[in-house]
Amino acid sequence: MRKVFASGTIAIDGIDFEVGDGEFVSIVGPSGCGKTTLLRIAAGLENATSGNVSVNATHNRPDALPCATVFQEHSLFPWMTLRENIDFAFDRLAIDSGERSRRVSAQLDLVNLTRFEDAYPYQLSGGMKQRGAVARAFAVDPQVLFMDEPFGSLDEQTRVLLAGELLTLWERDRKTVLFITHSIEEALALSDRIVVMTAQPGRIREIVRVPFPRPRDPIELRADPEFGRLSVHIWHLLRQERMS
Amino acid sequence: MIERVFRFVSPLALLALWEIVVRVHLLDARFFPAPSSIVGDFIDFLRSGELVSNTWTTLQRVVVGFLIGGIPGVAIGLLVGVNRVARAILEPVVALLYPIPKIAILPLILLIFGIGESSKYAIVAIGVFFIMLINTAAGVRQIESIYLEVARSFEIRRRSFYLNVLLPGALTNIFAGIKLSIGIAIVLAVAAEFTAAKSGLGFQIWNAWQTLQVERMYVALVMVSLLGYVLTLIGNALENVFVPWRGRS
Repeated sequence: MRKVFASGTIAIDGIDFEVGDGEFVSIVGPSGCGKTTLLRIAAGLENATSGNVSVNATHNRPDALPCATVFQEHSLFPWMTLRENIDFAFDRLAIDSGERSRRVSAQLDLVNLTRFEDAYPYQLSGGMKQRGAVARAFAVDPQVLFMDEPFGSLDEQTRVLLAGELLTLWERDRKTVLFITHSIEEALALSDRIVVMTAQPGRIREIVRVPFPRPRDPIELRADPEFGRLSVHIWHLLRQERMS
Repeated sequence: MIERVFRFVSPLALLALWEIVVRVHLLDARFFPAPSSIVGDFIDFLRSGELVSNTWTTLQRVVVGFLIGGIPGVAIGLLVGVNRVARAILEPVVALLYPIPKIAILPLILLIFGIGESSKYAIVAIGVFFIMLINTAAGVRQIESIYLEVARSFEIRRRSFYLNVLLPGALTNIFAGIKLSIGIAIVLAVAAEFTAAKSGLGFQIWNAWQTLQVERMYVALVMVSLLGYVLTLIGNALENVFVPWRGRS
């Protein structure tokens, strides 16, 4: 797949990989390597210049969306309360209002935001907003989840915490996830495989397999020597890119 | 705190200054009666019933015209804001028609709608329509693109997209348009009443000048001003009710 911007800049080039059903794949790379562009094309928000993305969402359930996206930040509608935001995601789906309300409540409960369901986004912290955005995406029970640096705007501690919560949510039903991040540690903690990208044009440098068994604890994982080894390996891949 | 004081004091200071310059005969009291005497006249005219009935008539014309023009203005504004084809078609038309002084087409409107109420509604509606259309379209265009993408990502239906994304997203601008429109609607209603009516505050002002009843004219002017003030207060109150997500300062 290839994407050329109107300015003539080649954003990404020769991208070709597959994400298996139920697999968690992260994309890491320096800023400007086109990883967000890649995800936007996959999520159907932008068109590729050539090539295509095929999403094999096999199910065709009336009560679930095939795909959902978690955006970087400020993606909750400011004019809706947290509950209304999650509820709105069901707009397209054919489910009765009782079931809908039950699913919204269950999702709010899973991310520990029940107490804040009637709050507007401006009343929530950055971490709560992103939890809400994650809850909204999980609520429609998609087969494929696209996540565009969902924790990128948060401080380190909130970030690790939310990554842990995401893992717990994900391990319940193992959705297929394509996750963009610039944090190598985050990618290692979450993923089955990591696609390491280079910049200008964005190409795949290497696809790293992450061997840790699941369920994982994103904090304990850091004590594993393999975690350090893989982290250094990816750092090297990115540094070579800088120097070449 | 100090702003609140100024808000209250500045109009009072103006009235006090006016009162003084009339009392020391710097202004001719025949043309500029002192505020104190206008207050007295105001009460007399309220009692006589003429002022109340004219105010009611003008208010009706303002409100009906406002709704007739404002609702399609917002609807078309949403469309122009979000749809590039609609924008390409309508933007030049609006740019051509909007600058025409609405008062200048009053004779044309009288020709079409006759001398009755519908011509007053029409002129108010036309003025309000353009302001609401332009403000709503601008409001839609400043909605951050991420919200449109979220709507797309969750496959939001068209109707919900207009009602629950575009409309609330543009609401702050829509309210700015409403407040502008209140002023314009009153100006147009009163101006139309000058020549083409037998009732309303505009009629009272015009008729008073023709018969040289200066107090009767001033009383109507004060009422026009109060009408605008009260409608603006109502607009502000509605904004607070309908825009609860904006942290109040």
